[in-house]
Amino acid sequence: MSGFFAVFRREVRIRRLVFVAAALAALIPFIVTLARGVHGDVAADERASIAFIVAIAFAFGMAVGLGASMAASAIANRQIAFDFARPLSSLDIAVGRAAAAWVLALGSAAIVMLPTLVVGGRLPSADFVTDPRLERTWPLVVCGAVFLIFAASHALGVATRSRSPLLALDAVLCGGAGLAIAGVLGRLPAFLAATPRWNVEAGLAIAVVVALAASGYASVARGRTDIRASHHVLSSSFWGIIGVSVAAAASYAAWVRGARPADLRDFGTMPAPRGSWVALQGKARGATATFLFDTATGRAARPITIDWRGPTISLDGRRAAWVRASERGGPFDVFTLALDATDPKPAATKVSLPSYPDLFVLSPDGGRLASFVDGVLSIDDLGSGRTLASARVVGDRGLVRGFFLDPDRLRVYVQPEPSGRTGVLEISELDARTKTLTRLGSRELPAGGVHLTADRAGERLVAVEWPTRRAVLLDGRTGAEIATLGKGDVGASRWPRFLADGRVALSESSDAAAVIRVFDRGGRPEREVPLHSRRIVLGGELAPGRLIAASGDEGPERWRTFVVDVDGGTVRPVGDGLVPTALLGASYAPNAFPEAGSEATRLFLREGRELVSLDPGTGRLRVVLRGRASKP
Amino acid sequence: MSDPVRLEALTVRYGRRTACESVTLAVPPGAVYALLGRNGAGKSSLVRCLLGQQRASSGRALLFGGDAWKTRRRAMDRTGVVPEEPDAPPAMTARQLSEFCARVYPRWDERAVAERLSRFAVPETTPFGRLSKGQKGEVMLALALGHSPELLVLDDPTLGLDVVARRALCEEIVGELADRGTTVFLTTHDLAAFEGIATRVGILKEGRLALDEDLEALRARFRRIRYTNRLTETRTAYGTELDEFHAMRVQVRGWGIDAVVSNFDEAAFERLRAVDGVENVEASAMPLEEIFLAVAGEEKREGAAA
Repeated sequence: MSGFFAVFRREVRIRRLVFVAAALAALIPFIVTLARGVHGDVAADERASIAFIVAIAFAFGMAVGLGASMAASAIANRQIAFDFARPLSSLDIAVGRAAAAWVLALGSAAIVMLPTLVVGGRLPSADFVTDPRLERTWPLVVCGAVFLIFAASHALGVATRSRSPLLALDAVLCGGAGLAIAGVLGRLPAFLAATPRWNVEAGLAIAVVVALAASGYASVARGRTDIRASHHVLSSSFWGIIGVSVAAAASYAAWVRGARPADLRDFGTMPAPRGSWVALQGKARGATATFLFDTATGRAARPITIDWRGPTISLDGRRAAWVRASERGGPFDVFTLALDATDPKPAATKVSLPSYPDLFVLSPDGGRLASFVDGVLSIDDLGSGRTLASARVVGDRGLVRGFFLDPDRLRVYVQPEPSGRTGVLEISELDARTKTLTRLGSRELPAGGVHLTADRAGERLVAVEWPTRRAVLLDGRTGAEIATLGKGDVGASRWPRFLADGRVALSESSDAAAVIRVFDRGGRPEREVPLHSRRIVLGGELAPGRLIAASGDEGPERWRTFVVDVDGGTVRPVGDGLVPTALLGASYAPNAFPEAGSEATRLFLREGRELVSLDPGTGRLRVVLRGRASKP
Repeated sequence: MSDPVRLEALTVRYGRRTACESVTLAVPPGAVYALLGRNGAGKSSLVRCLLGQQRASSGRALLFGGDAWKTRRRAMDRTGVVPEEPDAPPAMTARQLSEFCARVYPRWDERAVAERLSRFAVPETTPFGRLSKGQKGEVMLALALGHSPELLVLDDPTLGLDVVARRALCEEIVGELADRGTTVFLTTHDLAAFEGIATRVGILKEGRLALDEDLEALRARFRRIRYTNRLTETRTAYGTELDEFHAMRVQVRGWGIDAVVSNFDEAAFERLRAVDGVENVEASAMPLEEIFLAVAGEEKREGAAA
């Protein structure tokens, strides 16, 4: 250590005039405020700001200057030979000089700030440090930055003074590393993998610091008095570390992107209205992950999309589509997956959307796409990429929902953004053959808007109004009220479901009791099935008339699931901790709930990490997909 | 006891250029080794490798039996160095430099350094960068001797010094040798200054060690031979009479033949005298400078008979 301190002390002593210069610079804030004629608190604030700027400029400027001169020039002109001709270790020489530079830079910055601190009584950085994470740590950040700048300046100093052809290789490697890092980060876009991306960014930042420190030391220890050898060692060690780090980052990115459905934790599901496919969304290997998963075969594809825009699955369950997300912004390409193919692979269509759509539904056969983007409603043919019809929707269009009645006709329901005031639900149809948007009807809306569920043909709607929770049966075309299904008790939860035969089931549950009411097609009450549970939601129809109901009255982890025979009035428990996946079926479109008896009606999420299928005959559960336990 | 200095097939290359190639030599304890060579012969590269300041392209440089690159720090404890270009920090005074060395060397004689500087009349409080070239050399020598090294390495120490400074430096080295028998390895152009000190000489020629020999033996085998040969038709050529002397440089003058030979011995010389036609034969000893010129300079043979 004596060698280190000898070098350190000598280097500081040689440059001690820097502290005098800093002391003179410390007067700048006082001179400026005096010249501007400001007094009191204003002067204190102004002095603090100026002192902070001057101090940081001093520290960083010193780091640049000392980094370029303290060792790099000493190697280039061989003055460092004086130290290597003494019984000093390379560590003493390199670290002694670096520590001296660090102390000189930070010491001079402290001297610049000291008088202002003494007179003003507050930290001058307050105006500049706005990130709450840096409120206490910014001095450490400045200390680290000074070291980083010193090390980078040293590296540049060695590289440029060597006048070696290696400099050209450095430039090439720098460009290559930049491209490689951009490539790695490109594979981990923020919308998809914010945490892994942050891990990579932090890891690479640490790698750069380590590489600069290690290669800087190596350039002195292994280069000694030969500037070209010094540059060679510096480059090889720096690019070696950076290369390994970038390769590790690339491997990590590939690992994150290579996640499979079994890697999912805390995932949600949206089953296809028909068939065995299901969309899974959750976290896998630290990233947001969406999968299309075939529960029958275990096949899977991973759409790269943001969770609120896809994938959507056609009513026939044969095609999925999604908007491929991009960090660069629009236009966004639409991709599809043929779910009935032997080896389904995501395929780009010729359809692209200028921004993320508010409405995104497929026609029943999956051949056409309806979207609502920036106020324009469109029907596109996915095969040819042609826009078959489009129309601008005027007025307040906070929430747009809709579905295809057939491949040519699109029904849309437009309601304003809930604003605490009443509004109007507008009902229209866009026809691809006539290329016209026809207004069909409208209906007054309560302040909180409505949640809509439609029958498959779009003839009838159940609207649950907010915040009153009143449930009404409406004409799907005109919005005219057919019947009131439930009203009163605003604390109650009402959950509608159109049954396969056209009847309507409505669950009503509160903290006190739960009941499933069954109505005929005209909305007339038929039957009530009481349930000894609270907070009931309705899943799919396991078979016509046999409805899945689930109770989450003891918290989501303690769900209890039943099969309710709406005709016989019997209730049979299925099991605990099972959440019906068909709960979310209506998210695609108001009429896109799973078909009675489809695979989706038998699928349940168990403990948030297992997808299980119920055998209606035996009542046995089969694990379809085992995900990972959620992190505490 | 291992040799303080040993080079084993040392080669230094800078890209395609070879500074020195396969140099092998050893300096035993107490010897004064003078490595001679023209500018660019590779002397400084060799010294830097020897001091562990530069890595050899191949081969090894050993200091006190240890690899100079790997054991530099320990070796420097026993070694004093006077570089070709004085490299002390220019802002420090001689006294500060001595104080710095006192913290670095386990045994440092500040008083001896101060006395030496006083003897050299070097101002102790003037920054090193403002000293004259000669004074800088003297400070470097004082610092090199401050820890009583077992080995003193001097890289062209008299380069750029005036006569007075050169003499003072040489006297100091002589004094050091007389006091402690320090081993000295030096490179120099200044053959005259060190001729009286050196015990062994090496000559680097185009990166290769052309000669490595005790100075006395060298002096004994190198001679200048002058003679006339009346049988030579035109007197502008010579025959085979110099063959056994290994003539390195032969010039045919108007008066006769002037040759520098590297393999002189008295018996051969007597045989030369007896050669028919050879007259006015004389042999004279050569100063080191002339030997160096003969070895390091261009080989020159004029008028050799076919």
